[in-house]
Amino acid sequence: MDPIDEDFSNEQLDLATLPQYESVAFSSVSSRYLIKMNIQTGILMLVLFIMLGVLWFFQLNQLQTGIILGIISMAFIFRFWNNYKLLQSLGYALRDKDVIYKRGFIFNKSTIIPFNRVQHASISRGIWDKILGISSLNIFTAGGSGSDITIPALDPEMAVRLKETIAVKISKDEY
Amino acid sequence: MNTEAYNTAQRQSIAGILLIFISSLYKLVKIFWAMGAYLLLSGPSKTTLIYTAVGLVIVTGLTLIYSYVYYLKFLFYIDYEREEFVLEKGIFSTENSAIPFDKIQQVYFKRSILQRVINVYSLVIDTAGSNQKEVEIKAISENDANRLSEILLKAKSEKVEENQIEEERVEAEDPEVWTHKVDILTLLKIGISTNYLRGLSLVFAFVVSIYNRINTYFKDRIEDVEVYFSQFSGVLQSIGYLVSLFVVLLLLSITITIIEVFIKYYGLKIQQTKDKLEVEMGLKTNTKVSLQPRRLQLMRISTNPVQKRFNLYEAQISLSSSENELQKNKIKIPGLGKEIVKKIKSFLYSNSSASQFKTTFKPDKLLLFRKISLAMVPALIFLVLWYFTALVNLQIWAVLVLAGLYIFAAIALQIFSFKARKLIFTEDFLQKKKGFWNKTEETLELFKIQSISVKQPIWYRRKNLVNIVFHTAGGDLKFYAVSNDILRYINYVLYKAEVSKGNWM
Repeated sequence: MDPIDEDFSNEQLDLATLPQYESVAFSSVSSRYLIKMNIQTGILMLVLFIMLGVLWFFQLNQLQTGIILGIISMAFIFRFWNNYKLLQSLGYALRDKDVIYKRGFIFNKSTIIPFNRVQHASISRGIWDKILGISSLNIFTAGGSGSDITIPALDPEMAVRLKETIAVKISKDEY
Repeated sequence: MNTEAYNTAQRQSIAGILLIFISSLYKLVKIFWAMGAYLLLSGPSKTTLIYTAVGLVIVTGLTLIYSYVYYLKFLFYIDYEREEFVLEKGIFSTENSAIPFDKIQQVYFKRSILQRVINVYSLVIDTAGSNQKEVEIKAISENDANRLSEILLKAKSEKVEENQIEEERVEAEDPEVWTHKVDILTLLKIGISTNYLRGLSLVFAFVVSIYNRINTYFKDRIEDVEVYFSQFSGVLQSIGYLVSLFVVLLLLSITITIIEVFIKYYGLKIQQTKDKLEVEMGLKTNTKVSLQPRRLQLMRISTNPVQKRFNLYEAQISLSSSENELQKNKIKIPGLGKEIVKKIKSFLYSNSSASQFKTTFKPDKLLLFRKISLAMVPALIFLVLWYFTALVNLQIWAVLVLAGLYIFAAIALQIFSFKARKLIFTEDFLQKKKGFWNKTEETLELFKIQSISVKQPIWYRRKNLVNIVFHTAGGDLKFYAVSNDILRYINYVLYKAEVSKGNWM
């Protein structure tokens, strides 16, 4: 229950004048993320092709192999294209009171987390991140995994700066 | 704070290397033991054995190096300036977490057998949310563990204190106290009225089996009609037998449900004290839960027409789960009258005033089409099974009648439940209503949201539709295929959360 402040007032809000999350300018992430995604997709493709090659050698005839090869290739062309689109759709923005993260081309999803609901933030770097010189920023809330966000492919200094900004915001905004 | 201990980067206890080493070896063994067993069983030659031994030595050496580096890279310290606990770890992929003092839920020790042997402790720092978000220092000496937890808990309580005092002042008021007990008769009513679905499926099974029986009779006797007439009484007899079986089954299932309800909810008692609602129930295991308004996240009230006649509503309440993981974070309270539901609501949402606006959103027709097409899938599977396999042994007219009935019922049901589906925004609350037969109504206090996700698949873009998910600490509230206009209210909800100083848990 909220304690009622002395200077408490409760005027009616004009909804139209509220700040709109959908019209903020988003910063995009490093384009090296595309390299990372393509490497990962490429590895998967390679594995599948090798498996198909083995199968072709032992089991399948020319026609079957051709059909499967076609399907796999189509799927991967789509994946690579989707990776590209995904990178373009990735964006994050920090406002005074919250952080917004959007991603996805085919399934676009924006998540907005108010700073006074953030539990903690952390930076993680996978092996590819290290090679490519990028970092991921994870922001956790108490709302389960659907509610948390991971912003990939930030410049390491940027990630640290963001994390520290958020840390300051969390402790300042709380009480 | 008198000491500034742990303000520089600390490593774990040196014995931690051993712990990391042994646990990584154990992991390796777990992965490769099958290979080793295969090698031994296949009767290896001497050279293979030697190579294997050399390989093992190398792997062990590498693991040792890995453990040492991991130990070196595992750093933690307290940042007093920013008031947070920082932990860095990982060789190949690194992770850097910072936990603000006031987000710490609890600090506790754990010890496995191995940790006991090498005399170290696991220190776990728990924050709200799921398990993966906790921070664990696996090897820390008893001394360090005690001091660190003491400092962290102290820092945490200092941060939270001011807030607590204000809260107590509010709680010092004197609200009236009431008690509500659910009697045996009501429990009986619950038992009977919640059973209709099971009853319905029984009826269906009954009809199908009776049809099959008649069908086989017809098939066998189709050529000589005289015999068929003489057998007719036999059919009737077997129908009578089936009817009585059906009645017995129905009674049995009702009895089982009633027993279930009694075991779960016997002695259901709700009592409002000054600042919380105590709920007590259960025959075998007595569950006792206390509901504090600030811990409430989501409330769902459901009923169906039969239960509504009996004045029975079921409340399902989600609480924030962090403070005690053992405690159930979702409780169901059945058999509440309308007045009681009102009382509970007015207690849990005591500080809400009359709303200045009320806006209702309904999903787009697209959702209806999607739901209807999904509902058609079982009919399609059924038709395919009937056409291509011998699993379903029916004549064509029966198939057409069944399929027609199903399609008609499914479409009608989907249309009705589509019409019942709505999302209502008021000044402090969000309400989602749904269900044609089973009516449920979910209520969420706007400032209790953790975050909001707005989703838009590519095929929604042209119609400007979005899917909305409100995340809370007690589960999500979703609403699909709603017009873009809702974004204005999303901004309002965010505003409500961002200006709130209230404790959301």
